[in-house]
Amino acid sequence: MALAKVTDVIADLPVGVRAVGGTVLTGAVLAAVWRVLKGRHSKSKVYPPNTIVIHQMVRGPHVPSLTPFAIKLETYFRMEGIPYEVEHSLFRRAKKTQKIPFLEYNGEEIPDSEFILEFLSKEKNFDLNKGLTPEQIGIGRAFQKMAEENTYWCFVIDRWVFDETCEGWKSFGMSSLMTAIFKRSIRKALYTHGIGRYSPDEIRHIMSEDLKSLSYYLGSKKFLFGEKACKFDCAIFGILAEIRWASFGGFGKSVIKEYPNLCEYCDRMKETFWPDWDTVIQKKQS
Amino acid sequence: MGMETMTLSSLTPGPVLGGIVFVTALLAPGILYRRKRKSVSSPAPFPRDVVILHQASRAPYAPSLSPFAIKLETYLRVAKIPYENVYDSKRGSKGKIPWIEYNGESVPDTEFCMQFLREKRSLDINEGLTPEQRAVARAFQKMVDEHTYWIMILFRWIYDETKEVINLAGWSILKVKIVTYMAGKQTRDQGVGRHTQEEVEAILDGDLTALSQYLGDKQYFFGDTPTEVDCAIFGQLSQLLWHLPNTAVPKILTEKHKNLVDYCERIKTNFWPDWNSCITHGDLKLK
Repeated sequence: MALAKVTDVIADLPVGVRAVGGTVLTGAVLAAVWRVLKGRHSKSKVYPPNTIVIHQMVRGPHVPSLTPFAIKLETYFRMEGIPYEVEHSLFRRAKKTQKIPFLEYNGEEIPDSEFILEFLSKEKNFDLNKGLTPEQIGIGRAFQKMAEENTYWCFVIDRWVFDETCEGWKSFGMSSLMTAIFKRSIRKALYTHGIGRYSPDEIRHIMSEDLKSLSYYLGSKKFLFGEKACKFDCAIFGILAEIRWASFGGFGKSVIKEYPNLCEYCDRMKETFWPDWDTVIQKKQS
Repeated sequence: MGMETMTLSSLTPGPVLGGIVFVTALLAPGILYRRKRKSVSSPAPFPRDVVILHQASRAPYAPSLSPFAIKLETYLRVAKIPYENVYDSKRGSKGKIPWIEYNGESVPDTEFCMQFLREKRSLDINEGLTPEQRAVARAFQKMVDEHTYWIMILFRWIYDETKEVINLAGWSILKVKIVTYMAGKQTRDQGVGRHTQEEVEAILDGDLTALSQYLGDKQYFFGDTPTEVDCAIFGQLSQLLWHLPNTAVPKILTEKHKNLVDYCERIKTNFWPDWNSCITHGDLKLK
């Protein structure tokens, strides 16, 4: 009875008021649901002092993380034998930058993989550029920046926009409508950035030229600067792993096959620092 | 339901005319702007085998506000390719400037332009480089054009509150506001805009240190003659050194990376002997 009275009152309101009211109510409900979901994932576990905790997305598929910056960090810690913990979340982001991965250390949050490494190198007293000459550090930085600031965008647009199978999106269980909305948003951001103004063939060419230069520099060496891997190998491996194993339906995986020594390099980094790769990527964390 | 059916004859001319004017005024600027942005080949006949370089007008303390225009123009000078400048706001086919026309063909994007001219002119200023050096060259070019560039954008549009160089370039208040907003959004999307100014200065120093250490005491990046990467690096450094006067950036260069400052002066002396006639000092009458 009371409900009938309420619906009658609502039916008598002008159309405009009903439309605005409906929108506001829907928005409020969605915001409340979002907050509940986020809140569920934001509760931090309490760790002993001085524990390195890396917050990142869920594992897999095909790679330990769909962000190369998390792979870079974990590979570096494994390379140097630095113990660390991992927390997985679909929603939680660094408060300061709204990005992942981020470090939680003694209750403090530090975003950005480079800042994390620099912070920990001072805190735990290790040398990020151990054994490298100044010239090698310069070359290493240049290749890392090329990979993370240029090749990165090529695989992002390949995987999330050009790939018509939308396999990457489907791996998150996303509906066709949500996929279309997110795709459009990414496409717009990439157009403003600049990379999104190129055709798929041009992006493929740019990616291939970047990989060619990595391939030529690596040559027949085991790692970038010889027999021993360094921090720059971890950064480059992060990007190459995404292209090699997580291009989904995109052209990335066929582009890297043009450079066999890069494929062997990826396998070498995986076998050396991720002997548990297959177990890690099976783990589904919510 | 009793609603009156509207007929054409019942509409008075006044509101209809008002409606048409209103809609036209709303849509026209957008349509006209999009038409202007599309690249249109220059109507004037230019000589054969001369590059037509489309770029924005000359700037206060360096030949352009765009590091990519300086990169491309420096390349044309190093490679001794004849060219003419067209200072207009017409964008290339990718909606960006600079771009070139050559014997009727138009090419956007500075890297594509250099690749195109290499083939058309059968001239490669990277000729003497080994495959490994070419690889290193590409890495440094991508670092400065895809990373250091965004740091320059942050300083120019967000950190430098005086905007001295932009004001001297004669930009309108509205245009400055729009571009400042877009720069904030772009640098956030790219990533570097999410850090504090102090953090960004440290990141910039990292890039400059890499450049400085690789250059060392060489004349150019790969020895005694300039190659394509020198053009790219000079393009970006020219903005950092000369177009950010009220920021910490020139001081970072002069106090910590003197060899990069000397390198810029060297390229300016050797390839821009007419530098002073290519900069405006704020005189808007000069192209």
